[in-house]
Amino acid sequence: MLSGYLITVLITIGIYVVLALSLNMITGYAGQISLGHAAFMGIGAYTSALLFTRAGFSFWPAFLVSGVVAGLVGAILAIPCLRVREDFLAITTMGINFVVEAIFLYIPFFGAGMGIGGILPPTVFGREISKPEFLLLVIVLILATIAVDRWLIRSWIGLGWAAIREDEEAAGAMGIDVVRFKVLAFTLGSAGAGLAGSLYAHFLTFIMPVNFGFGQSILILSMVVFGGIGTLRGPILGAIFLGALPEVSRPVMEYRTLLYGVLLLLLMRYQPGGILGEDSVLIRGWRRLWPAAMHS
Amino acid sequence: MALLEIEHLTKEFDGVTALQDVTLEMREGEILGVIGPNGAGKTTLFNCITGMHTPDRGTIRFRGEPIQGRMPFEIARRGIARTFQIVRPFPTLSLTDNVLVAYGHRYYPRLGLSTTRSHHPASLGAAAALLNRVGLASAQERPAGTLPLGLKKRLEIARALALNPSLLLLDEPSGGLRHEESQQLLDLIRGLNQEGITIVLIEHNMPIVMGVCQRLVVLDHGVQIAEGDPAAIQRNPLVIEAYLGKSSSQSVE
Repeated sequence: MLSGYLITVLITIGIYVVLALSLNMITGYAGQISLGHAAFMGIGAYTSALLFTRAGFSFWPAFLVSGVVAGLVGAILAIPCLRVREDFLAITTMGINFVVEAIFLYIPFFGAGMGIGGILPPTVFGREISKPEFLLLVIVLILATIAVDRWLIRSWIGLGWAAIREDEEAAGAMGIDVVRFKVLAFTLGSAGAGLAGSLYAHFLTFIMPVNFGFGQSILILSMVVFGGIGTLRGPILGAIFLGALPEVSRPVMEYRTLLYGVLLLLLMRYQPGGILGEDSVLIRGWRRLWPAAMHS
Repeated sequence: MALLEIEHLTKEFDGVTALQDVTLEMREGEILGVIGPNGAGKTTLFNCITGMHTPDRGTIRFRGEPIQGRMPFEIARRGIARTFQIVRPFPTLSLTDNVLVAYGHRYYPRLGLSTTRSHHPASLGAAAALLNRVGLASAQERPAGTLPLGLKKRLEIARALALNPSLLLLDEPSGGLRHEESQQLLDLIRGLNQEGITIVLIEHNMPIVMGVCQRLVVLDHGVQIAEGDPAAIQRNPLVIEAYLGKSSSQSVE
């Protein structure tokens, strides 16, 4: 049987998989850079925590409401964002991250620097679920996210996002309502992050503003880019690899940041599309060996 | 019958007047040529019609309805399609997907519809037919960025046609094409016009202009200086002067 430690690591990685996949929808599919994804994880986490500890919600409705709230805030914040040029979008999303973190940090309603504690794990029929069962819950969410992703990619929305990613002006000239499609990507991606945040809150049982800062956003973005932006498999691999790395590199923990940096540098130099990106060594080799598997 | 009516169209960029009080019309069923030296404002004219720029003054009416200042997607969905001077297909998408992006205009407006699969027999069949129409049938699955220039230009036309346009704006469609490719282009333009599409060309290639356009409008430095049938335009001293300079027009007389 899996040890408790291993399950904890797997749950953490699993939550990052959901975060990476949801960011991939915004940045990989629709091509909109977002340096503030952790803000929506935080909005989901705090929504769930507040509903649970102060409004008596049980986990399941709190979980769903977290996704909805994060998605709504994502939609509202997206609208002004999208009228700025691409390079400004990066700064704007970064700014949103800092503002949201500051709101959690300075407003007493959100627990200020101490955060919110006393968040209990989910219960089913009055019984608190065990850690392996929580892992199962995370896996279910991952599978649901993958299913939604695949469905959207194959739809007209996915095609519209691809066109926007490639050439926004030409996309508009071909009949795509660019603003609406971008807002949709932000809404769905933020909702996904909100759901992941809710799971995070009920797993750790306490949350603090620092968990949802810019560094967290960069970590999630790194996972997406490392694995292969715009693909379905890439963010999953990136989350697994970079999520496991802290544990695997425990022997050389002092050099962990150096290790990260070197890895990312090598990646950008040799495989900028990501380890499992479209043009990567691994994927091209795979396609040569199994030409029949020529779908993504 | 006027399909598109442009009145007193004016557009400035940072103090440079790209279009100055331009009034012209595009008549249903015609092939109209818009010509003029570089910098005359021809592409700016297309950009204003298709919503990429908002004019500073003036109106643009399509079938009587004002469209100036509207979003590009609204104008595309009303049946005005364009190609670009510097060709810009969606590079990593296949030819089929390039065409489907425009074909999807039927589905994008409704959220429920837009979640349905993009690849289904009806849409794939329509895309294949459009690619066939411009002679690109065999390359359907290649990434569009890998095509040679001439085929990219044809892809842009197929993509524009997927909008089911009544007005097709072609911006220098023969640019960079070899002679035989230009001839094929002429045949394609004539064929599309015979199917009922009004076509407006921006062109520098005079044999193409004279070969296919029924009427010409000449712009120079943002101002319309002449309009009429190709033969008359060729003899017009103002036009000659615009292209060649003042002393040349006097020596031609």
